[in-house]
Amino acid sequence: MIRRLRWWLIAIAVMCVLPLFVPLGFPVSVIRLLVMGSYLAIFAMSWDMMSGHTGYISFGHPFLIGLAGYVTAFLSHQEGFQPPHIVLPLAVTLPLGVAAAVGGGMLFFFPSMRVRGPYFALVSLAFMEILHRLIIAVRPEFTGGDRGLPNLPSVVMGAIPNYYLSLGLMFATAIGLWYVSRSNVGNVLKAIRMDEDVVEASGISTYRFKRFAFLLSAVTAGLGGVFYTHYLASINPRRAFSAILLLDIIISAVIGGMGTIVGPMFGGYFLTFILEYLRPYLFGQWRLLAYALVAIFMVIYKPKGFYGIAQDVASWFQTRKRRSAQYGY
Amino acid sequence: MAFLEVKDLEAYYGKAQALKSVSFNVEKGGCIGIIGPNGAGKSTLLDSIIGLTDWRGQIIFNGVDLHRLTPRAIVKLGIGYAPERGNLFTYMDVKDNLLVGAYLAREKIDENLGEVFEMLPRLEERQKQQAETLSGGERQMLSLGRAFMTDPKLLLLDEPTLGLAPIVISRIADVLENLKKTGITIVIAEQNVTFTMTHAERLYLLERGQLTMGGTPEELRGEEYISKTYFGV
Repeated sequence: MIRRLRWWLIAIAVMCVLPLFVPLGFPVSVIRLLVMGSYLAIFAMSWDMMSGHTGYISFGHPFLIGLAGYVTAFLSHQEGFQPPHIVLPLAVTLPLGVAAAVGGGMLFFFPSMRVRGPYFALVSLAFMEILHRLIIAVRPEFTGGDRGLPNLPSVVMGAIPNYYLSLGLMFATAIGLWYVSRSNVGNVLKAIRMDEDVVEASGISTYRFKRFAFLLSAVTAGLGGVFYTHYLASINPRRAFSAILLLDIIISAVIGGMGTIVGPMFGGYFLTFILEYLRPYLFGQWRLLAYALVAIFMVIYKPKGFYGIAQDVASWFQTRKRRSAQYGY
Repeated sequence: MAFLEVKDLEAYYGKAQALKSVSFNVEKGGCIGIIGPNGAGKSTLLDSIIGLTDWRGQIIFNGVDLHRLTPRAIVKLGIGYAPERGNLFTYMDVKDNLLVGAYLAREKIDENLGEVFEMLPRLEERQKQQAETLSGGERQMLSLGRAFMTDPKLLLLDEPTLGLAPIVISRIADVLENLKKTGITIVIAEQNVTFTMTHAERLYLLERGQLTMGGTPEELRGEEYISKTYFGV
């Protein structure tokens, strides 16, 4: 058990000690970036559970994240739009937000899972846009309309407590999904991605497995969505349902290595940092172009992403070690 | 009553009709071959039996009408399918490929895995190897093994010798003979007429979606059309 988890334990230990260096000059801005990276990693892993494993590419993930975020924001915000409503504590609104992601997801996504390939992607994109428009247009006195809901209560205050909170969520999500990915269930999901008909012909109900993957994906997206919303302390439709968020999620998973969980996690952090440090050079719409180029490059030359590169390096070292043991060079 | 009864089977891809009024029977423990050129509809016929296409007509297996049953329900009834060798889960290792096939017969995983490894020892040697690195023959063996893991009473084999060297085909033939000894009923769809004539008790010629001829290997060998078209005599 410990042996299987050793790399996770090392990663947790390294990440946990980082804030201890803040008094010695380690920049707090990096800690804040790591918080954003943790949330993007959660979203990317959540997307990977569904799309990376089963091959059903979802363009509607912000729908799940936004729905969870809006439910917790609406129930917990203090300002009180007209008409006034009851303000609930976060201990109640956070689970309700996650439940909304699961419930809303079931309602909208399950019928669309009967279609395959680009049709599924388009249907999921349509659901995201529908919710986006509904939030803006229907009863803006409840949802805040285009302006959104500001001044939301925080779960914890300050960069370092938020860092530990996001890190805890991220590692809990990562280890849980990693276990599923390596189990027999994970194998069937990956088999569905490779050839769904053959899996069906092996007597497996692919619908049940896709439903399981989707539920797991919705739970983790909802979990990330509620905490992310309260970390930002506000929510608005333009940010919650933006194409940029969708691209961030998908590209994190693609460059990290789809279907691996660890890859998208790494991809989330990588993209957060690279975008921040490239900000002075790449602004506005140029970022989208850079995204597209990176994704195209990866898909063509390294379809298994950074995870594949790490595997190649590890296998090179193993071969070298074996050769040196065998031939002495 | 026949073990598998196919009656007036018709299958479509959109507007194109792939099978026209196909009818044949298979007795329990028997082995029949469906021969025919590329695009004749052999794979569509097997896909229809396993429930992967929309079809009309009647397919009765062991007294159960398969119309509108899902592939899962059909496999559960005891039909195993070994599609062409390209249809493996290439990024998985050999054992994981076999385990995907074992999902319905979970309680018999060890027993079935043992039988597969006994029948196909090459798979045991390569159980930790990724399927994409296997040779053509090994892939075909894996496809057979995976179908066997579903614990079938009827096995559908799609082009088991496609693109294989004669030595590998003879190994596949040994496996097939061993399978026949276990009492499993087998339907082979093949272009390799010699192979099919050697192992099947009865053959049907499928051309442009229609069964145009049927009989024992001896009867078909005597047919001028078969001799000319498939043996060049």
